[in-house]
Amino acid sequence: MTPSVRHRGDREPRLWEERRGDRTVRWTRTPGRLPAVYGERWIERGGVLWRQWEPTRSKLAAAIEVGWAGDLPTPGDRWLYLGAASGTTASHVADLVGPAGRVYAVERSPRPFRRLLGWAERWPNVLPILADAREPSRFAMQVPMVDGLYVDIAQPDQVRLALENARARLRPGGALLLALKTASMGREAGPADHLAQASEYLARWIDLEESVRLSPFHRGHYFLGGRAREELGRLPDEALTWVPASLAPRPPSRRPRPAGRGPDRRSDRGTGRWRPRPGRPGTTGADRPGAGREDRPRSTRRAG
Amino acid sequence: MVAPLLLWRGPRVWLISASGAVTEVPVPGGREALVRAAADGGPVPGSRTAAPRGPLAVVPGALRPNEGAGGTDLVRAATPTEGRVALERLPPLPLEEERSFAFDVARRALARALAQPDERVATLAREEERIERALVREGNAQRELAEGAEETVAEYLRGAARFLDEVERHHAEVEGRLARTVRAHAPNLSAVLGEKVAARLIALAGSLRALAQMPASRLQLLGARRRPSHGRGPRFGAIYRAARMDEVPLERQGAYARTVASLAVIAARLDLAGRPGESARELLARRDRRIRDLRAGGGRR
Repeated sequence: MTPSVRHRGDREPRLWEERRGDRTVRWTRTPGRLPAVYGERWIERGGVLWRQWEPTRSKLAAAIEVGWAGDLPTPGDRWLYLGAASGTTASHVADLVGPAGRVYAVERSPRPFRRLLGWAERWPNVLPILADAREPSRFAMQVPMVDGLYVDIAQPDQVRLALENARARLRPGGALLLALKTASMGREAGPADHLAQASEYLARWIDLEESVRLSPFHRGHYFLGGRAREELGRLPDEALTWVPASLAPRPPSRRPRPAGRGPDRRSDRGTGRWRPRPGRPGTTGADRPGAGREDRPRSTRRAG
Repeated sequence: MVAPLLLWRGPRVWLISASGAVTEVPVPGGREALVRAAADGGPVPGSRTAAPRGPLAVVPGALRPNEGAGGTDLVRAATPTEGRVALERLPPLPLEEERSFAFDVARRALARALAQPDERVATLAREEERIERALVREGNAQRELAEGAEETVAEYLRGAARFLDEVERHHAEVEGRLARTVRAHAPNLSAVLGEKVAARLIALAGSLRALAQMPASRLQLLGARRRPSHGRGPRFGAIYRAARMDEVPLERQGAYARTVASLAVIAARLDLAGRPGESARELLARRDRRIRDLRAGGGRR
């Protein structure tokens, strides 16, 4: 039985989908120098090297596997890739955009970045950047306007960071792809709630595609995204103070604390929950409702 | 666009004048200086600002455009919205030029990041652990071979023993280097736990700061293979090899691990605050008192 083969991409095919029984095997076309990036399988057909792209290793591959209908990197595109780590998915994105495209791969952590740098030297269209997605101004001089933004950063405020970077560099109509790790967004709300909040927030500036759930390949992850609207470039700073509701400070207790008592030890120790780091514009959340009241007691049922 | 803007893009800096004309601005120190500024987050050459800030990151000051378009007083960095518009007006940057700039910046930034004390300690700690594990594995394998060895195997074993000696010497050297590094970086923590364990904990936590911000209960379990569960969870992680653990009776080692973990967190905080190594004296006294109590069969609260 011959496998049914499907090619995506315009002039020259860059993604090869092959049906094998009830599963699909995907390959991406590689600029042609081995060894492989992370120990993946590869084959040579007609003088062209293809590397296998497995949904268990890459969230983008998993999204395609579970039926993501939105935009994908296409040949000739420029993509800004936030959270490249050692470059498993970034290498496949680079394959998809081909020699005419470019991938600006941003990673904050030096150890994985060293591995990224190792293979990126062999990939003519990858530009590695050691920087924090939280501070776009630190790498702004290295990134032009891009056709797509891929965000895979497991941070509590990953949606806000995606939007901040999209405002700076994503062209109108460009694609935003976001691998949403709900476990990073706090345990108080469930994955579905986090997805709903994130979608509602993004939908104000992005024409969202229908999101997909990445199970069983990646637990607690969703994939969402869409196309940037024209007004994204004029996004006001105030819109970037958003935090998921589960991380926002609770409203202060209705019963005022009795006067004349010392500081409340339990609440002074902090709640152990994540808060935006102070000191940077757009992250302090100083103008959120309830800001500055974080150290009030959360509950009225305190040990007397 | 109204006022003139300065844009920094890769190895070049551009001036967009009020009339919309785009000219390249020479930068003192040239490309090298821009690589340094991009990698270190340092000041842009010729500017008076402390760091490249703002969306397009070049701020006026002493930067002198080669043409008078508007004069330096009016030149400023762009806001995000202006930046988007202005970027489109720049002439295209050839891929090779852009790529070589990106790699130069990346290599410099990486070297800088890996030279941080936390990274040095973590690298050495992982290497030391790797060699130690290899030594145990190879030693065991040789002992197994040695039983009832006939002549050819015995000859091989003599060579292998020499090899093992070499590795042991290398291991001792790495250990010494690690001890010196971690004593300089975290003197209090290494006094409380011993250098090797202190280094492994820093490597596991990612940085001294992460370690110092941890609750003691989490530090105690760093490096544990099992997860804490509803039944009996693990009592030790890397802390099992802490200094003086072997002097405590077996059934009280969990208690000692608790104590020494809470002392270690305090020591890490002292180190983070930059206190000298003698600051841990009181912690060491508490540690040793606890050992005395546990050995005497007491210490139960």
